[in-house]
Amino acid sequence: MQFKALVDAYYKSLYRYAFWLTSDEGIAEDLVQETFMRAWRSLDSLQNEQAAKSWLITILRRENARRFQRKSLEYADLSVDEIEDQAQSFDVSTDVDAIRQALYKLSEKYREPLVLQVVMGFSQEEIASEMGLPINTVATRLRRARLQLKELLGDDHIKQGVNRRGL
Amino acid sequence: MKCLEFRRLALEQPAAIPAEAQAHIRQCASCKQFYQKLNTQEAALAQALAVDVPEDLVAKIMLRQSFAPEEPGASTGKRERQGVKRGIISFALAASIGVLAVMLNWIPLTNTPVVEEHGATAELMIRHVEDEAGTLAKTELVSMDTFRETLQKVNLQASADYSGITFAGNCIVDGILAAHFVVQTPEGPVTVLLMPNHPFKEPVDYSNKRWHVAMVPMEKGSAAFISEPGLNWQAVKEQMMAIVKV
Repeated sequence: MQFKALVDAYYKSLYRYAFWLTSDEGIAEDLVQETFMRAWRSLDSLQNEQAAKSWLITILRRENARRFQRKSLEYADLSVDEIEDQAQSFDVSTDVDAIRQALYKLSEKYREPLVLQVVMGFSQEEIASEMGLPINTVATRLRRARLQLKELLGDDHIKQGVNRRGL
Repeated sequence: MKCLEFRRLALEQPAAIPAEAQAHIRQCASCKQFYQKLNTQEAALAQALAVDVPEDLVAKIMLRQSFAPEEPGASTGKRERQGVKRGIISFALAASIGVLAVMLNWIPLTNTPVVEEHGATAELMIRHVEDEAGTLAKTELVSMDTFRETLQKVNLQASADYSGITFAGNCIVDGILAAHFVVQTPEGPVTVLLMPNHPFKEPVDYSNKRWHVAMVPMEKGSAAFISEPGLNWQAVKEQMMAIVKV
């Protein structure tokens, strides 16, 4: 695969993944640049173009692991066994800023599989493979991520846009 | 399929629920409503996740790749060994020259910090150019009004037009406001940083393997011309220095 074609195909989704992984535009940009430089140096090892996306994500996650220093804040788990009760009403804000605020508040363990699924188009199997998790755990985290978003978006404080963080 | 099972599946992957789940929502009004609202949130979620990507990101990646010395796929071990070997040879050569120079009194040791300081300033200029790598890839000429406005913001004026400028903007370089231009030449782009508040008494000529930096004093402050090594930047310098008035 041509390097430029690889960059054109994946730089946007990689940047967005890196941004939500780090919550920092500068670090995300550095990570993407470094990821592509490492990819360039070992481009010959990419045998299958279909594998490029996973390959790049693996490189980026390793790069991030080397930089990662801050301790993530944990968000208390919701009781997913109560889905039936909560799901009676799924009215949430669809305001983009409010959703971004809610995403910042999600624990990384829930946000990352969600971003891999929505931004990168990964299947649950691919997420499980990338994150080294059982597929049932991935499924649970995806459910909890969406339920936590719903909970967070139901918060009037967020709906009113107080303390919004500009992007 | 029971409602709870449907909702679990929907929350795991709303975009791809199995046929059995699709059959369930045709029969269950409550789950159908749940699924519609979930899809609304999902669309908004996709929109929220799609943060703006820096416009010059591709240019920066391609610039860094163009400087990568190795061909893709080169063995890392081999590269490292070659690097170590090159490093040993370079060190030995530099040490020999250094000893010889000191013996012959070519290098006044007291001046070394000044040379290092110049190198550090030149590296700052290089870092700025690399941070703004997207400016090098621009091809559309900027208007002379933009050129003049950029100069005016640092209290400089142009006595004539300058053709070939594809980027003009004011930036903070080394903590000082500068006029930043990119001039396209047949050999490649030359970055010009005009810094009237950055005094520099003597010309500096600095190169690393990727960049050449020439810093020249102006009547007030200094100017830096950054280009790839070997590129004829002097013509840009002469024309720019002839046009720009303090």
